[in-house]
Amino acid sequence: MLGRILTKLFALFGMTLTCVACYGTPYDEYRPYFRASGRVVDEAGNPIPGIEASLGGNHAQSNDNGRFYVENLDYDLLTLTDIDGEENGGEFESKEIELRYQGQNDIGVVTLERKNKEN
Amino acid sequence: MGKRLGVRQWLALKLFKKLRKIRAEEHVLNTLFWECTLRCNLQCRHCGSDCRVDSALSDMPAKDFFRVLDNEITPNVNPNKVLIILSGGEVLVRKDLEQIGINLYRRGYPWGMVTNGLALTRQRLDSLIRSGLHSITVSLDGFEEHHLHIRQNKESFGRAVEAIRMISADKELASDVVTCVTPALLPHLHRFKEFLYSLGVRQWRLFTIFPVGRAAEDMSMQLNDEEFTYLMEFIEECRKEGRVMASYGCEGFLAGYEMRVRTNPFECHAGIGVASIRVNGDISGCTSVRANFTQGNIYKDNFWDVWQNRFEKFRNRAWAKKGKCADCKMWQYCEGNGMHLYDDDENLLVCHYHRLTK
Repeated sequence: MLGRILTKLFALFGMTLTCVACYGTPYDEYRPYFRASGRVVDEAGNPIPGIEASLGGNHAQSNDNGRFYVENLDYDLLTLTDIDGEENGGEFESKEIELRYQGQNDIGVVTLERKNKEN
Repeated sequence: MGKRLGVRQWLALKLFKKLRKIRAEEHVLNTLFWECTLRCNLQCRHCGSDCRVDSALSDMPAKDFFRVLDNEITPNVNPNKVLIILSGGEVLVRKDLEQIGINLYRRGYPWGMVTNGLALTRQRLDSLIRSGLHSITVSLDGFEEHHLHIRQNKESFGRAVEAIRMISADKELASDVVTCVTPALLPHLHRFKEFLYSLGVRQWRLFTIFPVGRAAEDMSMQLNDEEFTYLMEFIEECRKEGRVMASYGCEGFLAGYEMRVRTNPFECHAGIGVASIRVNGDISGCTSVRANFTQGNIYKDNFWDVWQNRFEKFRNRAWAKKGKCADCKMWQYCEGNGMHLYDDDENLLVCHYHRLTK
């Protein structure tokens, strides 16, 4: 307990206390290399909640503001899929987006087209 | 400043003393060195890697390391928070480096490597990044004349510079440059800092050479006490300027320069948060710690048992309170300097505090 308090106290003064080991490399914690975030909207710019964002086997759903975040170890194709049919503002076409690089990919605003009901 | 502690330093060191004791008791593993090869593509003058080990010693097979990782380490740690550092020798000579990297990455371990940059092409770096490389350090020991004097290979400077340019441009990689400061480089440090800045370097670690390995007999590689003190002042000046975050390597207690030339107070992490597996299977703190501090061997012992139940000399430094340290008023903050600064008879080779001239 005292250790945690002291660690936080030092952190307040910018000391992380996990410094570079002698002759080592800068300390870094693990992070998945493919990370994608963005916001899905309809043609009118309204946010679409409940859209599934998938990277390989990892899935996440967009929130009420249409925002999503998903990550995976080594998968570079992001798929956005409407999985709730007519709920949340209608049924939308899926979209695939190739991530440009490993690391954080901010996709920005993605507009999904409504499914053509005649098809 | 200098040898004397300021009030804030005194207070911080007093608090840190308590924390260091707790950290030694808890000894949470956060960094694991794997000395995966002793082969090297250079023959540097100052190499302290391990001159006393037979250079014909073969690389440790990856399956031996992963057996220990999977059976003895992973069940006891959060892999996401244990940085695995591949060290050598020169790690890029291993042809299975990418395979090793991706296997670490898929187990959730961040991994890093230290390299002289000679074999780091764009293609190789890309393939290492695809294998989950998180952190990388490249050595550059000054301008071309200084670097070549130490590295003794005509291509070594240009390749290292190119490697530094590449890693500095990659925002996903944690990276820095390490420099062994020699007397010849000392008058050019300001200009060299600007050169590094132009390459994109923002984190720079400076070391001085300690008398182990090939540098032990070569006095031209070592700074005298005035030069050493000047180096501390230079680092402090760089940090105040803030363009390149220079820091002195973590190896010595620096009294009035504590937290002025490094972000954190001095602490030898070996055996506290840092362990190593050497090429012959020996288990120790940092790879630079001498062989007589070896705590076990992966071919005979269970790594986790060793980590939990041995390392007494690393975690309780009472044995080191002898010689110059016996009556030193800084002992309580320093506890006898870095573990790698002890010789085979457990005598301290270098005291950084006593080197300070101001």
